[in-house]
Amino acid sequence: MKRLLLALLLLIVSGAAQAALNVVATTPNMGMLARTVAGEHADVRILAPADRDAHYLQVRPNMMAALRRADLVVSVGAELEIGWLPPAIQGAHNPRIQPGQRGYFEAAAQVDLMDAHGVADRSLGDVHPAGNPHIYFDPVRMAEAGEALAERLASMDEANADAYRANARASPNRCENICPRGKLSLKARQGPCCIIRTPII
Amino acid sequence: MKKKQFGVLATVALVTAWGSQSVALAQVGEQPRGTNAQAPASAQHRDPLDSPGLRPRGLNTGQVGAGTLFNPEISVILDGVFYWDDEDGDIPTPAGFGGGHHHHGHGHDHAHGELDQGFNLRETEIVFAAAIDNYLDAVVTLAIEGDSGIEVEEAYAVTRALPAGFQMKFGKFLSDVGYINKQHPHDWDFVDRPLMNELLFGDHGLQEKGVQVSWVPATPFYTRLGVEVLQGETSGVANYVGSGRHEIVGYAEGTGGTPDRLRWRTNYGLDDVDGPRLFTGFAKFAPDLGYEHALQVGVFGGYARSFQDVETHSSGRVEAWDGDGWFAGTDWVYRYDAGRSYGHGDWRLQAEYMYRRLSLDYFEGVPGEVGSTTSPEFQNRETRKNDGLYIQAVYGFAPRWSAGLRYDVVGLTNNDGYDSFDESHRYSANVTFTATEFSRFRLQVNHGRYEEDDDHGHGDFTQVMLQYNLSLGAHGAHSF
Repeated sequence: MKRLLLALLLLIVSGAAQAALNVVATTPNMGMLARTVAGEHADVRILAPADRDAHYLQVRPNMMAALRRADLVVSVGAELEIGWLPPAIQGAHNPRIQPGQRGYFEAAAQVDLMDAHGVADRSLGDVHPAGNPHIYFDPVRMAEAGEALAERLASMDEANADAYRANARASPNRCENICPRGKLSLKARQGPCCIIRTPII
Repeated sequence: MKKKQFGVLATVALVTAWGSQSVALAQVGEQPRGTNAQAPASAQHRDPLDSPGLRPRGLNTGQVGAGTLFNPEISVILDGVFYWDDEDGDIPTPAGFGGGHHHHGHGHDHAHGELDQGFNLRETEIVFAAAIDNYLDAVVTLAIEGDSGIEVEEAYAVTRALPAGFQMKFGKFLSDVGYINKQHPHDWDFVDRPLMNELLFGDHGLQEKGVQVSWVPATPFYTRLGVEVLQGETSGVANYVGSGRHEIVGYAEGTGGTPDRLRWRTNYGLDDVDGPRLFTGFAKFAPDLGYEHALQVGVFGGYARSFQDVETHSSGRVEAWDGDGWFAGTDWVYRYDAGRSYGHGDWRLQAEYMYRRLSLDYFEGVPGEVGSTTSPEFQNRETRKNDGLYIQAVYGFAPRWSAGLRYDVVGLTNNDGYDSFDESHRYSANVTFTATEFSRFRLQVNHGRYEEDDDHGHGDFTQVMLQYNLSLGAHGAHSF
């Protein structure tokens, strides 16, 4: 019994003593964002596979097990994952990742959302009254979210703060990295993707 | 004549002028100094009775507030069933589960949750959910039963900031023992509750006031261990009567051959037992099987330090039971997520088994004459042993469409302290159309073969149910 308790204690302590941050991303695009910004300083686990519709997922015990050990959850937000992330967080028994805590990150909360505060009625279908959460289609918004994520990671792990910021600046999402500087108007962005909606050359 | 008219006009003009003056004066306080002179009051308010305080002021109330932002999420669940059976709405209770050997025939009293032939409005649930503060979340579920009567189904708070994987829940809640017990009727894959849960716990399942503490360790596979300390009022495992004098209504042979209605108060001889009287524990394990597969295995059990029951008969005869009991069981859930649209190709398999044992002292007799206060003595001891299980499978055979099969059996072990009975079976099949997450329509057919108390034979019946299940408003996502 004593040995069992000791083993259990070691398990908990070793979990806490891991050097890298334990990051859980809800979707593959958020996983990409987290991996880009955190680099080798975080272990990133993705809850929803790429071939699943994140709107229709259901909570599963392995999500709760992953979130139980997470230092940070990186979600799309704006209620995209409303059908499964809130119960997964409640079932994870992890105070670090509760909404409002430092370990809870919504990418959609870091940028201006399109179509926010419109008319919302369920007869209109699956509308997102808080605004369009599909910000991952927009390199500009993703770059902004990446910078916000870098600041969040920096506040959690000050030793590697510069690395997070540098990774975010070098993010492949940044429009400057996709199109040469000066050939793309960032001012005119209105659509979900500045490249599609504002082809200024 | 003309003078008089002029006088009246002058008075009106004066009054008008005085009115507009006062309006202008009233506005001085609201407008920045100096603007009053530039914009004459009479131009803004042509009607002197149109005082500024009576006009709608738009959004500029001079106040900044949260408004309704702190209101909880509110949702309403509508649940209706069109019901038909071939027994004129009178389905018997399976033998051995009627509450004792001496309890014959429920007659025509409808047990709670039993449906009438034709249209039925089942519980209408009103759910409020919100964070209390940064330490607690709270959920209140009110159930309006049929057309009348409001019941607080759940009203609890859950901690959100306890360390080391602990969580505490307190208030009134559905116990986490087993799998289906904590689900509300609108979460079910079938119209009705599994027989095991209904007969061994009661019509509401194990729904109690108390405290739950659970722990999720930081292991690679999901584990949840929990204990609950509960008041102990659930009819199936912790029924409670208490001391005190109860009214009995009986009939005796009166003068002229017509029965006299007698009414007296008596003590059943049951003692008060302070709460908490029911203690439960559960453990759930779920290995990480990847994205497609999810398996959760649970074990649970509970001990009731008091179980009391009373049955009164019109002859004045009273039966009373007093003792304790325990139960134990296991729950298995497997889900397959095919990753296609709207649940197409998904599987949900679910099975639970539960055993219940009650050790009771038994009293039977007429407890006293009118006005008597003597307590009856409990002579006999009886041990009731019952169990039950169900297994169900639901398959999404097309986008939005699923079909389910369920097999219920109760009384594999079935002894009411005097007699043993055979088991009772029920077979269910349904088809569900889930238009969206918010509306669901279901057709279900049950065929039952219940063992009967008295003649030790069995009765067959068929039930047909057509259900709608609608969710209105902001309803939180369901847990696994």
